[in-house]
Amino acid sequence: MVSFKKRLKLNSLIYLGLLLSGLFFNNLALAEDVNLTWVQLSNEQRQVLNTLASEWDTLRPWQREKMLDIARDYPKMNPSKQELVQKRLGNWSRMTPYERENARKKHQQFQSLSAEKKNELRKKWMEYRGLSEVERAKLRGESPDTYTDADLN
Amino acid sequence: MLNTNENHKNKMNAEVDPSFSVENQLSDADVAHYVVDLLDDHAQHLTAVTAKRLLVARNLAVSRLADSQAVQSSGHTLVWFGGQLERHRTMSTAITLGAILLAFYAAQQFGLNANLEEGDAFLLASDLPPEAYADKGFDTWLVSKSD
Amino acid sequence: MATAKELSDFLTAVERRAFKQTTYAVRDDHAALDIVQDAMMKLATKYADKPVEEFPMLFQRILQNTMRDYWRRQKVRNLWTTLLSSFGGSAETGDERDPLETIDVEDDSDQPHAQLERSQTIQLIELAIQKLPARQREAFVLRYWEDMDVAETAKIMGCSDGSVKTHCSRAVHALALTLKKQGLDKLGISSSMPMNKGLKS
Repeated sequence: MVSFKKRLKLNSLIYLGLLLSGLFFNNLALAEDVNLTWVQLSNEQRQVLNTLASEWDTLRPWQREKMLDIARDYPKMNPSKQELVQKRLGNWSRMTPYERENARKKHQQFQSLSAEKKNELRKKWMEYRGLSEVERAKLRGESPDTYTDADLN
Repeated sequence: MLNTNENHKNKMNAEVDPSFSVENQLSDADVAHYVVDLLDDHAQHLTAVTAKRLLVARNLAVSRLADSQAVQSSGHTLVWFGGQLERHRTMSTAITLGAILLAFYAAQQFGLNANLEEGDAFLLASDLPPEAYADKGFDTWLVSKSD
Repeated sequence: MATAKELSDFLTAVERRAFKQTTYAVRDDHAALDIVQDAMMKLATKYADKPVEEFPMLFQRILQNTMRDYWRRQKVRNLWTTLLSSFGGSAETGDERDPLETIDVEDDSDQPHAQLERSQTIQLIELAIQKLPARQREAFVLRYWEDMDVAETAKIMGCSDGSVKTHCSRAVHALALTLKKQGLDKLGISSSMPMNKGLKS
């Protein structure tokens, strides 16, 4: 006779196991692709991720997964958005994981702003771009949350 | 291991920056020591409201600990409850199975929705380039502009 | 396994400075209280089986992590929505203010001179602490205020011993600069210097 505690534990584990596998199952198809080399990707995937052709084989699986997500969402977008993705993909892949994670969070907040504020921010960004690289580097250094290489260890 | 002031100062003195002249100036260790004494002193003078809230938080945490330790020491309640459930074995299994299936379904839905809104593609296609989101200089500059 | 009394004694000794340390990092008294409360509860529920000797390090680690979670969630929203509303003039964000405005300035009109100097000094020190880069402040607090050694500090911060020393050194130099501006950089300074207190509780 199995005790109540043991049965509860067993049930919880099964429950958890299936819940997790449910989440993974959704991405199973994608997960398989991360192990493919560049030449093994589909035509569609290679078309979207063309900028990354030369470096694909050097990317880590978790990096490739994010890129494959982009390829998956790309067909849903209109041509002007697709163009933006193409233009920016190179820079994106060169950013550090830390920078990319920060960018994702910032983007989430950006999405919650009103159209007016998004516009404002865009103008501010253009203005900021007008500053010299020296000035911008100085501003980055002044940020209280800037992590230099020494800090990251 | 007791931390006497001697040990404390020795630990800090060991790291004194040699380029800092000691003659007329306070050493690194002295500065740190002085600052910390001030901070410690100041920390004792909280508002009554704050002190009260800390007390309440502390008592909550302590009573939670006390409760969990009491439960662990007596398994009586659980055994009784377990006995009840044993009798309705089929029922409990059916409920568990149902819950699992529901969770599976929910996970599928959740997974889909999450992907719709959060893929990097949308970030790349947004009004701002990815550098804008990542550039800490931009934030600093915005702050300075708002003064 | 720690007893309820041991936990209570530990928290009593540490709660006030934990609160202050948190306010320096998040610049918001309400949030600081929530964070400290969270940290206390986490210690009581997740680490109840640890011996009380491990509590100082555990609690600091929990506190730092809880602060970091809060900071990651808050700083992005605060910056962009707050700043933009100040450009556009709309009052959407309501009571979100410039974080530096939430520093409490003590009313010092009734205090005798020495005490007045001292309270001005502490205000400047607090300001300086808040302005330190996060990592430098963490290192300083853990090393000098929490009395951890370099190895313990490095473990909590998740960095190397060398980084800890660098951060500490920079923090101390920044604070020394603040003291210098107050004319407190000479030996044998005014009566505002506190007496040695012996053992830290």
